[in-house]
Amino acid sequence: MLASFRNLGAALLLLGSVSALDAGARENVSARDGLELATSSAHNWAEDSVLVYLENDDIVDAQGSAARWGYLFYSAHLDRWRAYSLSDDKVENAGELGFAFDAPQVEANWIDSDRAYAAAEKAGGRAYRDQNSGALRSMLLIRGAFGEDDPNRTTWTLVYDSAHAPSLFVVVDAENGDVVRAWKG
Amino acid sequence: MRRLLGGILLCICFNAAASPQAQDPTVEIEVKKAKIDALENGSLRFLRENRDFLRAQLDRLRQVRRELNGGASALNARDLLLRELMAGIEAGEDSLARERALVAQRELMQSVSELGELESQLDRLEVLLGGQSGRLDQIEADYAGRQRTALLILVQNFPQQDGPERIILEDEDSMRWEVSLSAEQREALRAGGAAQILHEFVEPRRLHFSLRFAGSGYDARPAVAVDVDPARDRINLLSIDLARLDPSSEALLPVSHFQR
Repeated sequence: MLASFRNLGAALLLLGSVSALDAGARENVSARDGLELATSSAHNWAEDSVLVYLENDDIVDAQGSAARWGYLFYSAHLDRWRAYSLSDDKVENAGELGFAFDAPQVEANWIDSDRAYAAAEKAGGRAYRDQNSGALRSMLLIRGAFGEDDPNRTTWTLVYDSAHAPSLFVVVDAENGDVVRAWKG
Repeated sequence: MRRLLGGILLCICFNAAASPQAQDPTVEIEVKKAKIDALENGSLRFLRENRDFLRAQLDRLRQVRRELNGGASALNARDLLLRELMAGIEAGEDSLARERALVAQRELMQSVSELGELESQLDRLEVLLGGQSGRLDQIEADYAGRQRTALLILVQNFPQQDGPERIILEDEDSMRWEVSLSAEQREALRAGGAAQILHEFVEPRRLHFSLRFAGSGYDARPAVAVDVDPARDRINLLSIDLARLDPSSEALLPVSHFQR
């Protein structure tokens, strides 16, 4: 058996050695682009795990894409939360959340980050950035927390920040891309 | 529970495989700091900075949900499909058994019309077998479409002089896999055999293990770091050659990594 392994052309490594990470620039992707890998990883951790939260882990560009996204999964069987931070189609970091976060599973048919970003920009995000020298700080996908009149709703929430004005929050329905509400605070 | 213990992990090691311990029921208790497999700071920043606000929002949501939800859970489409296929296979088996029995009971053709009936029965058998084949194809396709990342760690070869009696592998979460090697197994390794240390589904990311050896003077030897970057949706095999393992040397060990 081992002889056949050698015949496969196995690469010889040395224990204790650490290979250098790719140093090239990371490609910006939409949130859905990493979903399959994140889900696959989470299912290897816990078969029953479900996505409960998603957030950009790097700067969101003008297309609603980012070099890194963070995906949070919950396993009812283990009663634990585990997050995966992905970039370049690889799991860059995985770990326990460190605190309980009892969010429900997000709906499966959520719109991608590019559509959510475009909707928020149109609903005041772009104007806020222009008028206040602001920037989009975070965009997060969660179910229930920002649903207000419909707690079953999964929403994208985009948070714009500026040093000269209160933050702007824009909540976008993750099913149809409609802006649910926007406020400053 | 781990949180309540404040990061202290009790690790209970049973050394039942080694013969001296098998006679002595002593349980060795080792107290270790838990390695928190924490998420790095750059990830989920908004959630961590605003967790109290978000949790308060969700606390409100849960109260509403309990009133509205009767406890039903979402149906899993895959489970439903597999159940349907299994029910179909079982029903098909019953039908096939009945048709086979009917065919077997025919000892002699009484007339040409009975030959026609036999042909019809054989046709039905063919249809039933075709149905079973189709269901198996669907199950196979489902399985093939759900590949997962697996890691298999083997050790091969062994020092010609005294080798360790136990091999202990530990991951980042302080999960331990311990393999005790009998004299016969050690001899088999010396002759070029291999022993499996780990076979698990793993996350497709860079994983860090530590490998320790115990017994026959190996307890003081420092642990060896084992890093592996498993290929996604593949079976990853890591083979560690112990031929040059020495209790007094920290020399690196050759490792082969390949995927299937």
